[in-house]
Amino acid sequence: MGSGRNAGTLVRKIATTGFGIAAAISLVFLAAEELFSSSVLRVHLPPDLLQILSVDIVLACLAPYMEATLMGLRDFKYLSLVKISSNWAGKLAGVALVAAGLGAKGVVLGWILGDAAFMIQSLLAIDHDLRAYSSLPSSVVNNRELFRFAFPAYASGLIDFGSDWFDQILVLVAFPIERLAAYGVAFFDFQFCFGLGKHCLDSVVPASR
Amino acid sequence: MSSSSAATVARASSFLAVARTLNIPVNLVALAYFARTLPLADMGIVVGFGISSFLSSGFGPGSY
Repeated sequence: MGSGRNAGTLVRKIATTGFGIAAAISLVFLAAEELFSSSVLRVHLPPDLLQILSVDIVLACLAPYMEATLMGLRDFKYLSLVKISSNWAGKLAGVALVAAGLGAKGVVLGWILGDAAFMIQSLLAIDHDLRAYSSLPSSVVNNRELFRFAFPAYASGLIDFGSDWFDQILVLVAFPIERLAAYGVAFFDFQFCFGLGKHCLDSVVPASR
Repeated sequence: MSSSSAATVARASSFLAVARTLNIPVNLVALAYFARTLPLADMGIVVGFGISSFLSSGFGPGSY
């Protein structure tokens, strides 16, 4: 069993490793995005739009670490508050920036603000929780076991991605980008109507999940 | 599953479901505003970015 200090060291180590991986993914994205925009989106994108999107990808890659750490610390109440406040901040900022005339760049900047808000609040909560958390089970530092556990989850994630997004990718590849916009909005509307009842039920009867 | 584990799962699910539910209105308002305001090509770029962003971050090691 580790001490509270060891728990903090472990979280910092995970966060540092995560930042390195996120930065690498972001650089790969930035390098490949030129290819993505010209061959898949078939539009010429301004370079600064790609650069600010790569910043968001770093934050988006780190967010699951923060979320998993808060869940591991069983701070569910604060996690849900952070999810709500950061989402509202990001979306409202996006609307304000688009209203100010920034266009698609405003939407992406809104994503960055929302993800940054999530990151800052999560880090503050983790720091606070770790001060009160005295020990971690030693098994969590066994990388081999962790990888053995995670590998099927990665495969499952890939299949989930394929099943959840294949239609939008098909529209993206096969039709003009304007069709994807119309399809994306229509699909979100459908998800809203379909998901509203389910989310309300989940709130009342969590065991139904 | 022990009763304390079940209670923890139920507690986590309840809080996260509340968060998802309360996020729906702002997501819907923002999407409606973007769809009305942005040109279709810009909106297509945003949706395309959403896909590529998810592809980049959704499989990160912190995902699970």
